[in-house]
Amino acid sequence: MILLEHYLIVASLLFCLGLLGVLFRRNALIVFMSIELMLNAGNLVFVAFSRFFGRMDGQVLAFFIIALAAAEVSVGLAIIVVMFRKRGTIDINEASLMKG
Amino acid sequence: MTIATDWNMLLVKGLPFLTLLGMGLLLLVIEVLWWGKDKTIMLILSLLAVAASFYFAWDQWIQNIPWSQQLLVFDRLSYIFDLIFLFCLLITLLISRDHIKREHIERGEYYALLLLATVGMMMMAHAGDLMVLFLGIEVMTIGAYILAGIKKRHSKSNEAALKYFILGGIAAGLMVFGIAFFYGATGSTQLSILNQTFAEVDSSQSVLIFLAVALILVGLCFKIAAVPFHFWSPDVYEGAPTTVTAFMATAIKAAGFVALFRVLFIVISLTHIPWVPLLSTLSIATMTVGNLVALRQTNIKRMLAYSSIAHAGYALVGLAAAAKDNQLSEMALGAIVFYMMAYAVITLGAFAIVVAMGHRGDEAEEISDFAGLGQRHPLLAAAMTVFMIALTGIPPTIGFIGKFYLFASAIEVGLYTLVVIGVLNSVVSAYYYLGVVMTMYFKEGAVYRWPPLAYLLTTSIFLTLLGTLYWGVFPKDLFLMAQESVRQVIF
Amino acid sequence: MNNPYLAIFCLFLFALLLGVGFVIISHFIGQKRPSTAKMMPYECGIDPLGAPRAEFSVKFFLVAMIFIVFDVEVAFLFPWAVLFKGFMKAGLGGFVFAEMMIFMGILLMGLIYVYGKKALKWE
Repeated sequence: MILLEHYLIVASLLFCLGLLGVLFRRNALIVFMSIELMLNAGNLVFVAFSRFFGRMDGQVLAFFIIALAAAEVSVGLAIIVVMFRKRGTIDINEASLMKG
Repeated sequence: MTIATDWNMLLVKGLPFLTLLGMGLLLLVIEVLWWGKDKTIMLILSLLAVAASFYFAWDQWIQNIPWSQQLLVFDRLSYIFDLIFLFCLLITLLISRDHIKREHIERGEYYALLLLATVGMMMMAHAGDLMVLFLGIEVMTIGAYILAGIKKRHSKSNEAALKYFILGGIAAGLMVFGIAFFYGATGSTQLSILNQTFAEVDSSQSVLIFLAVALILVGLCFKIAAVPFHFWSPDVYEGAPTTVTAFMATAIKAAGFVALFRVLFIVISLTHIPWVPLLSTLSIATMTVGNLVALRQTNIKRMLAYSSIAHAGYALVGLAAAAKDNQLSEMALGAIVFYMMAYAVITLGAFAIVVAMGHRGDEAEEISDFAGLGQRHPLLAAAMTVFMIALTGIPPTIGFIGKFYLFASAIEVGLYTLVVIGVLNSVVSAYYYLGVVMTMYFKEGAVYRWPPLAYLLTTSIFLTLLGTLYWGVFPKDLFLMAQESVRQVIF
Repeated sequence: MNNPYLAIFCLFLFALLLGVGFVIISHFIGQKRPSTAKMMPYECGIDPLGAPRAEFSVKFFLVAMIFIVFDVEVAFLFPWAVLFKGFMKAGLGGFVFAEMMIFMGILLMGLIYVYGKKALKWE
């Protein structure tokens, strides 16, 4: 029997995975994927609760987040492509000119 | 299946952002269909949209008919922030023209994105629902990512965009997760639901709400660049084009604060969270770190970036004062709104001067570039001096009045330690602000031939200077306006 | 305390701390001796042939990005289409139709922009 808690646990783990990936990976593409992981963890929670309540509104909200994630993806990819063409690397630390 | 919304009302109330939205989209279409090379038309259209939007927002502020449509709320608080954003947008547009021309980034997208990002900010100011708040934040930040990286051929600009993107991504992830848990705990993303259901929230849900609120607030702290969530934001400010930096330092910060207001108004009723110590710590950390790091900056944009972090810290003093007694007090909130206006006016002025200093091929971003300005361009140097003393918080400028109201509101509720630390911080900040003044007057600089100042730039410097001094001497009307705006906040 | 959400909260914190902890520990006790062999990209044990940067056409990325955005917007059309009959019965057909037209109108602006920028031209 899969309960609400199980979904929440999976979502929490996904979220932590994403957050740690963003904080500790240096490859811009992987950081990027980690951000998506975080957003999708949120989606999972929305859908799980929506199902738990027996209502549809949570799923609609998940749609909005998917659309936003798509917008972020295209802008983020554009930034990475421009950066790669200019610098020849997508390693965040290597490409860093300014001191953090 | 009924949709009970007064659409005419929504249209009228929403005109400030609908105007900007329409014009933003129109500019994109004009960009590809316009045959001429001259982009002046874009600037004129943007300015027209700003003027119209300003008129509508002002009109609504005067009328003062609070109305909530659940997803969007329309009250004086949201309209006053609309006005602040529009002011920032106006000055940004005015200082943009010469800068983007010499940087070769004069494109229709530049204007369109500025307008659309402002629409996002207005959505944040009008948000009655966490999802709308989040959508507003994303519309704002996605525009800002592109604007930060719009100098495609500059490595620093690319880097600024990438770093801003990662920061924004973390904030977005945290907020989405927080909102999802909020939905789980209350069954809705509506902000006001918490007030209604708070009575029946049992302990099992309070854990969820706690998690949700914590995640949402951390996400917002990224937006106002509060310490310890400020890393990389100085890089973003340094790498982005100066005009965009001016916009980010003022408008986006104000937007972050209005979002924080909207959330705090509701979650402040969660009495088991120690709001005052939490906000005080955040405030102390933010202003101290901001000021101490600003001390050793040599790049003026970086210095202003850390100064903007420090100023967010001062504004948080007001928030800590407001959070006393678990209901946001009017006086402190009014002081924050006033401070946001004051900070926007001064900082935009300072950035306008940074833009005025640069010429083609040399952006004059180092503080040492200001050496000798006092002799060669006395008026510009005098204006910069006014802005620097205003940022320090010395009378007779609006910066002093703003800080005075903030600290007074904190003293009112007995947060003496916080005020003492705030004042000490202001003293520290005097060192680097006045350092710029010293450089201008007492150091010999390379001999530049100053190009005549463009009239748009002169206008913007004049406007901000006028605001800084006029409201520094007669702050009463503006302060009353700020106070009025927080009197009747609805959800 | 018998609270299911508290367990999730604890797990959340635990997972975060564990992750951060591992990274910090490996940072301190891990040895870093990079050598040429280690820094080389791994391609099934064979020495890599050619530059790792394959020359992808920028058009490729551009079209991919445009596709992502418009693709996801279509996702909003499906629920709308499915529910449209229900709305019609409730007498809200015109309203719901107008809503979708506004949405499509905004998308159309984007399409005009993309088209005008010649981003869809594939040489």
